[in-house]
Amino acid sequence: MSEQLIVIGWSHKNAPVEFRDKLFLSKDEIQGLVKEAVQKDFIQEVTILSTCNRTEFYFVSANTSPLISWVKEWYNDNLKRDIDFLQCEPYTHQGNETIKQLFRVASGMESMMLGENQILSQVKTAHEHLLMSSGKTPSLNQLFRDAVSCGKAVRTDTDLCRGAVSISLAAVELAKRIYSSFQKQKILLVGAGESAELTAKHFQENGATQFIIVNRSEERGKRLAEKFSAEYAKLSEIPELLKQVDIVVAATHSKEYLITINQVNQALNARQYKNLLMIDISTPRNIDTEIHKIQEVFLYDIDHLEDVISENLIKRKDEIPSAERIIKEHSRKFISWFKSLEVKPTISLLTQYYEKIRLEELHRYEHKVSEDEKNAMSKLSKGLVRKLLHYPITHLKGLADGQELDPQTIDTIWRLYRLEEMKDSEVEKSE
Amino acid sequence: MQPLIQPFNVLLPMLYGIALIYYGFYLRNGNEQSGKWAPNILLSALVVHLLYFIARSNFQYFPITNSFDSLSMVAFSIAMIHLIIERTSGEGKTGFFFISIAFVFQVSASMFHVVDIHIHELLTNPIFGIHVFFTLVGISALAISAIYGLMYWMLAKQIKSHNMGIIYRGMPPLDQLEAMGRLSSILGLVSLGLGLIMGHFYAYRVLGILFPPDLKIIINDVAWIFYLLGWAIVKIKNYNGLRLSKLAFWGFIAYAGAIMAANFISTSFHQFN
Repeated sequence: MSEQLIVIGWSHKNAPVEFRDKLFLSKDEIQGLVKEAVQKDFIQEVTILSTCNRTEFYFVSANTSPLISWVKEWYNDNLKRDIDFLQCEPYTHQGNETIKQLFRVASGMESMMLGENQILSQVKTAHEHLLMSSGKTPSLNQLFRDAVSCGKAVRTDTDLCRGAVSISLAAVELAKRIYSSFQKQKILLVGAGESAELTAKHFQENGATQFIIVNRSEERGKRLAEKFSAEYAKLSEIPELLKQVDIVVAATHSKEYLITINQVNQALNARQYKNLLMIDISTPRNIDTEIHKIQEVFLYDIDHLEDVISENLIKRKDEIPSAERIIKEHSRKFISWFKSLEVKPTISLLTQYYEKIRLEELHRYEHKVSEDEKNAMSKLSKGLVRKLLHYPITHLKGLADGQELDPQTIDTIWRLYRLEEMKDSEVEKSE
Repeated sequence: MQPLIQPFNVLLPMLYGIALIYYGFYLRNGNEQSGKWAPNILLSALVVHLLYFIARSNFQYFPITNSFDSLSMVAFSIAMIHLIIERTSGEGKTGFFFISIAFVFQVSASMFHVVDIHIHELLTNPIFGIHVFFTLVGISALAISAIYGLMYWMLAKQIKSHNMGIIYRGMPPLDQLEAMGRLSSILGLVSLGLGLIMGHFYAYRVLGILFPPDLKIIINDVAWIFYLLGWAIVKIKNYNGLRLSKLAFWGFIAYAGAIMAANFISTSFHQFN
């Protein structure tokens, strides 16, 4: 029987978040599973990709039927998680579909947010875990390596992963249209909640270093200021701060305007009419909408940013055909490599089969002929075997290269020549 | 020299055309490879263009014998200024716009290339040649600065109106457009200044007067003084953003309008044909 690639998994597509939480595996748990799995005779190779949105088991197995129940038992018996698997059956893919699945995952095509970037590093981590695990995993190692390069190619050659798809990232992207670098820009954050922190984090990741945090609660404001090595200021200081900052992000739940048109107008002269980007992601809005009328001010609220996001998502969707093409190309290369793995042991055993017959026959006559005749017979038989094997081997290699080699063909050859017995006797000999 | 010059008339538009295609790809897809290749191809075009000027003049006269030669020189100036700005700022996305102008000018110059050239005596003087070269480069740089101003204006308008169109996606950030415009206007100011000084020096040598009563000369001198004053005010008052971009744009429109009017009104030794 030839070995097959198989994936068994649960993701946001077939399991709710509570169910996915129960399936999540830590690094240690993955290593524990791998150790136990390789002892099973129906598992040749295994690795797991476990993130908040998906847990997928990748196997190389000659007998795929017991895999699903083994995975379920492992959760319930070894990890004692008591998961009701009847609630959510896993999806499974075999052969080429497994390859396609992992390549799509690595490319962000299967992510909850199309073109998400984090998944590629998660696939890389799964590959690192695989490399650290004991035992040989040539097929999965190559599969994950190719998946990472496929993910990279999709990100480089298409716009599938470009354009912000979250409010805080959209705010940063917008600011990038005004400022080429945030290193010298002063950013005023009004509010110290989750949204303000996330936006500050994204600005910081993009090079921003100068933050001023303004918050009603001093304790909370100072805590956030400490996180970003920022200054803390009181709400009453906003009019003064408007004279020196380049970007203002308002993210509070205040029911009134915290920044008014008069404050901005008064600051304009002092700031020498420099551009001012104001992003209001508060609900209700905290920045006076009239400020939009001031020529030097670019005012964006949450609705505008959501428009940016929807537009980016449409653009990402337009990139799907290009991404699919890249995935197809990478899958084709991997399939070709994987098929060549299957054909190599077959060719080797086939050669051994013929060699064994040749030697047996020579042995039968070696006492009846002279030394010279024996050498001539050996030469003749070698040539004969080589010629007999030439066409089948070339044909097999050709099928593998052209991706036309199906498991049935290999299976037929193994049955015809009893290669399984041949393999067993080789194993016995080596033992 | 004609057989030697003829291949340039095919090669130059071709090279500018290829550079334009690469800049186009870079603008449209942000493709890094195109972004790397475009300035290299443009540099090759400029080197070939320089060789063309040498072959054309044979070191005996300045190679602007007719209007189409002037177009070729303007194409060279625009491409050169753009390349300097691109190399300094590291931003090449605006290349498409400038190289398309250079391409159109060079195609016209190559298509209408005149075989029988009448060489005006003035052109054989190297000082006059330097004056013409610096003046053309200066005017081209100021024109580029005005285009940067216009780009800034358009992008700022798109950002302000929450319109994420092609300009929004393809243009460099506002602060970079401003920096490139500033650099271009400084190059223009310096180059035009040098051109005018050489012109006055040449006038003094030929006519014996430093400031000949020629409308074109007066307009150019006044425009240069205005640019210099404008630059000083911008520096002192720390003018920036939209105000600066509008100033660069309208300033050049006024300058170009005045030059055109002067050309219409008076004919002087600046016309060679």
